[in-house]
Amino acid sequence: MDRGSHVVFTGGEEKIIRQFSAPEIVLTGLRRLCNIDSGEGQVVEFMGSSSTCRVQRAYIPELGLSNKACDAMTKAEMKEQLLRGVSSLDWRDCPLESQLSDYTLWPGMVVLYELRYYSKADDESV
Amino acid sequence: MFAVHNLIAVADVRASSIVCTLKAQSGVITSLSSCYLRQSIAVVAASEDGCILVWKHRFSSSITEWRLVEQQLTGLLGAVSSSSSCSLQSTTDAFVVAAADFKGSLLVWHIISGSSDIDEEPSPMTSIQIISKIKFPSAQMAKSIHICELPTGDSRSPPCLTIFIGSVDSRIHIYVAKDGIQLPTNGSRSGSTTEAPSHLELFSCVGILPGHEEWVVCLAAVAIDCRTTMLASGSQDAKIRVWKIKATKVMDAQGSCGNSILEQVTAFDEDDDETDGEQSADIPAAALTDDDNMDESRLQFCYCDDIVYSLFLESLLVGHEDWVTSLQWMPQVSTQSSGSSSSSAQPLRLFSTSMDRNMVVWAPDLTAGGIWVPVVRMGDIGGALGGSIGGNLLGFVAGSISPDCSSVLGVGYGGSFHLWRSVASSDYLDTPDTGTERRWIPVPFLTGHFGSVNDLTWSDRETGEYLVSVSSDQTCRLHAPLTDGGTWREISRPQIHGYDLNCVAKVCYAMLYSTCILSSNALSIMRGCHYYLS
Repeated sequence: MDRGSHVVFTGGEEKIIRQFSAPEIVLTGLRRLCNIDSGEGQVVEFMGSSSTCRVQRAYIPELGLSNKACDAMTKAEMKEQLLRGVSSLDWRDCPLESQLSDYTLWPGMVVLYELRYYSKADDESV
Repeated sequence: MFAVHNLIAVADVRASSIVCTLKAQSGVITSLSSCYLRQSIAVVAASEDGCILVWKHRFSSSITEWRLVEQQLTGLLGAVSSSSSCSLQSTTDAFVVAAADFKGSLLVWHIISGSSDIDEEPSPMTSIQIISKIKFPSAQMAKSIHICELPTGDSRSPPCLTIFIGSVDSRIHIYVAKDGIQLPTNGSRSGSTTEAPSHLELFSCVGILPGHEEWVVCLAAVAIDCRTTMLASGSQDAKIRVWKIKATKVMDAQGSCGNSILEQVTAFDEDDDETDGEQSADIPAAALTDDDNMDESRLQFCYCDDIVYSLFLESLLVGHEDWVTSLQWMPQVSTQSSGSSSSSAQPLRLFSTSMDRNMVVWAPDLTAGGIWVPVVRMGDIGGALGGSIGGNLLGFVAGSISPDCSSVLGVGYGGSFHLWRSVASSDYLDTPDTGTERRWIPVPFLTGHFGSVNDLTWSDRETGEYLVSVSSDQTCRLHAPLTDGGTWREISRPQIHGYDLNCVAKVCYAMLYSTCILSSNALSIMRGCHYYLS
């Protein structure tokens, strides 16, 4: 039913649940290396988030814990990432450690607050 | 082969997969060392609870066949800080193991592995004897140990068994089995660890090498010819010192060799080091290429009455900007490349890793008077600075180089692997062919969570195309099977967080609005996993 949507929710010690949606670059990799259908064209919409199309790539902003689309990168952040010199992903082979953390992040779409307890694994309810 | 908590994992580098794990210890393994015997390799694993075990693997058998030597190496009480082992040239299938604990004890065991190489009996005849006990004050706790045999340059004299101890007092202590190692004689194959009281003073201190300004955390020695040994010491002061130890035969033994410590240069010239340290880190400095002049030796000691070892500071390697964490001499192998102009044997090279995110291969520059310079500098600096260790390389804590010198493996802080392979330039797509020049390129290797996995979910419930897992290492990772071969690899790292991650869920949108995701800590972590795997 959710085939092709490529969305996950994660919860951590901070008691916040975050929603992530796969970026284009990861879908390309899944298609090229693993022959997994990328389900393009699926509109992702949840609780008013206006993410009607997939972003190309995500990054972690200097401040904050939510991954953002690379379109929102400031010039300084862009320069800093370029300076690190991580070679871009061409998906000829599996990604390296540095590429995993620089190129394959998923952008955070929605954050759910107001949890009163530590979140633990509870998939059965969804 | 690497230690994972209380397991030892044996990995196949070419296939990028773990072939087997060895489990016998309950404590976290703190030190692994290995030595080659005639037909097998012995691996010594020491753990934080003082338990030291030996695993053996025959070269003729499958890589997954490892046998645990039943007897433990007992005697140490505290957590093992470092261990080292070396095989003995004089006898086959015998080796010595030295290990030190955080309480200041150092023990040396002599192990004869018996006939285990030949028969397939589950309990090989193995005798283990403690041959020496050394006690340090706590201020001299051993941080690194290297035990090796120094060649004597004389085929009649047995090699000199020596222990180098890098200490937290920033010095290297040298212990020598002065009169040669007296092998424990027959009758000791009782199967248990026995002590031979007469041998407990076998090793005696012959000198101390000052020079480093911080803890000496790694040592490596290699014999380069029949009388010379090179010793490299790496320290948390970011410097590597290369020492040369040369054996000379004294004709009239009585004259000068009465005392084991002939001379120790006390007026140590610290000024030399200071000036070197002030140089820019980009310009590696190597100084103090001492001539083989006895007067300039830092230390001399005598062995077997007629052989004098002189120890010189060969070079000071400045190029790292943070702690040096591991050192390894590159084996001298013949170059099999097609280039006819290349030398027949690879020159002496040293491989070092550091917390400054660099792995460096050092070699003496023969055109510049033998000054040691970095030949290759490898590193991997991806990931956001200040992030969690799952997305950030803080530095290399260990490294190793393959026996054929074609691959280098670094272990990042946290546990990430960084494999680099040497390829001909023509194979590297972005560079033009420049003849026989070789380049080092990073290649994918094992990845995985550094902490306990707390939850996982399939991409969808019908097909399960990929798996998403979250862990206490603060990362969320996506694993999928490759089309060629079907092995599972990490394809994406959706989230690198600042908090431990506890749960992950794949949600179908049609049901979402009517579903509550809120969860409580009353549910066990395993429950979610069972739900999908069953």
